[in-house]
Amino acid sequence: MLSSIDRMELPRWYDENKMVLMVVTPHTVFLYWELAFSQWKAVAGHQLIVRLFALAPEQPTEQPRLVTSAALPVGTENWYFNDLPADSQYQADMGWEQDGVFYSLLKSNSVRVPPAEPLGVAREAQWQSMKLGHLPGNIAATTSKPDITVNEILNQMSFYMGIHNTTS
Amino acid sequence: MHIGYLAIVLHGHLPYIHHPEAPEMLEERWLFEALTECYLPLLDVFESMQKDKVPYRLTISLSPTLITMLTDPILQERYVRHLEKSIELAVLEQERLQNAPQYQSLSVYYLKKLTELKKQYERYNGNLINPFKQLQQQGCLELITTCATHGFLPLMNCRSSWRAQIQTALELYASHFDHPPAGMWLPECAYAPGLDELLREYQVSYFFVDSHGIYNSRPTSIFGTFAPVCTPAGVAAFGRDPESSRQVWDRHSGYPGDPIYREFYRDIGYDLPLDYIGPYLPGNNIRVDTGLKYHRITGSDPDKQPYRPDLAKKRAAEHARDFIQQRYEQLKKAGRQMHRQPLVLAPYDAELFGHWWFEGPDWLNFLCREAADSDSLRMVTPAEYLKAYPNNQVVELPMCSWGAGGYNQFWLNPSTDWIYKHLHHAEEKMTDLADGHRNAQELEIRCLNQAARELLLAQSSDWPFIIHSGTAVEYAKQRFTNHIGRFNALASMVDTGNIQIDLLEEIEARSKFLPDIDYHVFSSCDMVGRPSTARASYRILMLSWEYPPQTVGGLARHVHDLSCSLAALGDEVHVITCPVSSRGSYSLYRGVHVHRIRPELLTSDDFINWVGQMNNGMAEMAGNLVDVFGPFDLVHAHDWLVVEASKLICGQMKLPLVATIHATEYGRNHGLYTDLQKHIHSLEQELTKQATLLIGCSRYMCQEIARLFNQPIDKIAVIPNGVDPKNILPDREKSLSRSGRGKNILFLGRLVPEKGVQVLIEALPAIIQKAGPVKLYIAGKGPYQQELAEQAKSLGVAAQVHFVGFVNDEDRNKLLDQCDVAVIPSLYEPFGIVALEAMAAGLPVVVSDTGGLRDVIEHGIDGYCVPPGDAAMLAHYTTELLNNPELAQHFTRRAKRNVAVKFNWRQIASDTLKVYAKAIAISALN
Repeated sequence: MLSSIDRMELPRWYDENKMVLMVVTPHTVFLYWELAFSQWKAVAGHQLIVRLFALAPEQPTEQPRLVTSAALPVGTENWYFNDLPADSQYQADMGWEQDGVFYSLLKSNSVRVPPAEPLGVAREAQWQSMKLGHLPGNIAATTSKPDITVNEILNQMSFYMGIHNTTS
Repeated sequence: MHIGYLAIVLHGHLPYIHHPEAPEMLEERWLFEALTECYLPLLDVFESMQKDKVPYRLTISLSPTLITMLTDPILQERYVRHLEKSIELAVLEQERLQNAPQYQSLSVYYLKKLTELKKQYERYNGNLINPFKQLQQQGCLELITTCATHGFLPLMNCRSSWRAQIQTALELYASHFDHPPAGMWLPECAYAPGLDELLREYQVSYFFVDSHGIYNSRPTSIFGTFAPVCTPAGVAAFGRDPESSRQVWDRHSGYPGDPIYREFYRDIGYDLPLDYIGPYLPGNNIRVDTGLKYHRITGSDPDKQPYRPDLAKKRAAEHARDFIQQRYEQLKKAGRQMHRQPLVLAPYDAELFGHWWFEGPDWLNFLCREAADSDSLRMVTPAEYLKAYPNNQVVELPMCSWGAGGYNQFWLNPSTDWIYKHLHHAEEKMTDLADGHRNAQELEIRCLNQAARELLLAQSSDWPFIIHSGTAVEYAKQRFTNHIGRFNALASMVDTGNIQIDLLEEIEARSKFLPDIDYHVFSSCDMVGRPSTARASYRILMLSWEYPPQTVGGLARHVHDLSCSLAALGDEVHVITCPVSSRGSYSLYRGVHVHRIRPELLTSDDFINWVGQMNNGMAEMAGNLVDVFGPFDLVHAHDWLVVEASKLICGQMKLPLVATIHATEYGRNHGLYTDLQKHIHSLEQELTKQATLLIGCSRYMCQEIARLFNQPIDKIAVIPNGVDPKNILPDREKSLSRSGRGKNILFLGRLVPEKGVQVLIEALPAIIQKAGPVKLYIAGKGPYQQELAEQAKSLGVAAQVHFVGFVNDEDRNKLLDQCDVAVIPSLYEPFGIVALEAMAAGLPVVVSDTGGLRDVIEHGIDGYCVPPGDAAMLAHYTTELLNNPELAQHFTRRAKRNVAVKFNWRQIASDTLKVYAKAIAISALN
């Protein structure tokens, strides 16, 4: 007879909020999720929607661009997003919509899908012994002197992170 | 003269099949068949070449699971039994085939082969590692290894899993071969950016990727697959040559499909009646391969001709000659465009040779001999080629694998996607267990070590591979499920402290794999040490205008924590800073030397003069320190106040300069409006120019630095700020259900418009409407307070808003304890340390989706991110957390973990050391 450790079973869920985006190919990503029981209660029967965004990590001030969204059939636990542009960064989120406002429940990690083809444009090659390359030289900037006292300046120094002030 | 090189790599791997609980297991035959058809014949080929003094060169990767099974006494014994059974069957076949001479000669052929194999196996005492080791010592084989259980690295969720897969494999390899391997075979040649850093850390010199990994690199690789490339971390990646692959791999046009060669799919295990063959099949009735195959491929017709070993051998010799000739043509062509001798790298699954392609070992034998006689090309190992050509093009490799489709789809698709949720959960759980049980006791240690083994075994790429291939699906599913199930059972025993020793022992007995594993390998930060690029110790000069006990901003604490962590990693850190009345000019605390300039140097009332005096004092002191302590390796400056001293010191002493820009004047003020702001900006500009390398605390900050000061982005490293959870007390989780009082919201920060308190006050009426009575505590002060108070009044919430003023650490901790949610509604935030502090204290957080806060919070996982300035959304999410304490508790648990893993100082110090090493290397070049 088989011992119990040879016929183990997988847990149905882990009671956690989790949403993971994974790279399948340069054009496909896979998303799976789980909502904690308390999160399900908060969802309260709303129609859930998943959305996929393209990020521009080189320009963090730029808003993520909505690529696609899908209303989820009840019981769905994962989703494949196909036919995506390669060599891009993606992130997904899930939520519901009410009166034209989207309430996002949770966001996934972001992933970078690899390029599907060679760069095409030749760039200057770097070699291992020179891999750190040459950085721009040091040119001193000229500066003007504002008229301000030490005390004035020190009083404005609490800009860093706020509240750890023990001297003022 | 030869014109190029050929490197053949054979990768040997089988999943860990070890079933002491059953007398016989169908899947054990995978190993037995591989031994009979592949590993023993290959060793025979190698030894014959050794005997004939053929100077061949081959690279063999042996997976840790295969090494373990090859040295396992139970399997060794079972293999001998299996071999004896095969011999018995071959004898029986001779009788059966008396009247069919063409086939009978084949049964004689098999009998002879099997008998010789048995002798060979006995000569090795059943342990194939010894002959492999000997051949490596003789210099013809380069033996490498792959990840512990052949885990598919790009689909893992935790870096600690990468570490565990790599480190335990290297340890197992070293225990068998007495030294570390030169290179590593990434399972399924699957690469993900960042893996190179870890390989470099473990001093692995090279790995392999498929052709498109090289072709699609950034920038484009000049030599294609004809030379290795160098990853940014400094590890060599060799690309698979597509032509030589096709010739061997391709089902139709490849050599193994030749009509003369043996047909794999005709085996007497399937062809003969059960009452005859039954005793040689598992369970007497399961049809499997016996290895006795009497036909050649012949053609696509089901009608097959008898196999002729002599003809097949002749064809293998022809194919070997053809292969060498084609490589010669290829190398000749490639060499015309290269300023070095090109390399053809041909990696194959070892089991192709002998198992799938019966004549493969013969072909390899002929090929090596042919190459040895050839003047045109030479066989090498990757390490030899790297020694000859150490300078390689630096490129970034994309994610890739050698599986069908070239990426992850063979392991992640609708038939296998369900496994990742369980794997990822177990990965995180294992890391949590390792972090939370640093000093476990005896039984706990055994439980944790076994949990680590079970997780590694569950990660084996074989399970999804088998499931997707559609053979032995049930076995793979059950194995995966058993490993996850056992892992969960062990984790739960550790969690509850209720360790059932019988259960533990039963699980241990199943997997003798990695006997020396130490579960700490999965911990998130224990393993963080000095990066491999850094020297054993640096003497570092830190310049910061403030240092504890003087703390105006967060800078002092940051420099303090960083310095202490660097000292803990072995560096000699000297901080030069301003004087404070309570401290002398020198102190040594937690390994950090703190030097304070003399107060009498700072006499000026004029700010510029005062800063000048401070900088001169710092420079002067640096000179004195060199006389006492010796020369520095590097200067690390924090913010613009110390730019002059940095310039002077680095100029005089010719030292590299690393500068951390904690915030910018432009960002703080959304522009430059006053002379002071412009002046500070110009000094920041100066600092960024002077610095060899820069550090910013978030991706956002790095972009800002690059943009404002026109600096190349690759000059700036992102290293987050850290928080030491020990300083943040108390632990709120213990005091969670505090009924009978209203709900409290906390804001911590300066009262300036950029911190966005006005948005929070604007949201307050809606919060009260949905969550009932709440109080908002505003800790901090600033010029905006009056306006905020008026805003609260006009919105009718003045009674709910409490301005607490500045708070010290103790008062802050009290507030963190009293409140139910922390809101950080900033409009501008380079980093957002306050969010980390709240998270570390176990308080749920709602933050603005802006700046560095984006890098800190995972929305819906450990907190909420709200569009900056959106009061309605801020109200919605704050209410969600106030009204749903269970969900809030999920978030806080997760948040505490994330803070400990992502923002711990040891990691930050280690990352900073990488920047130091790079800066020193750059400065040495200039």
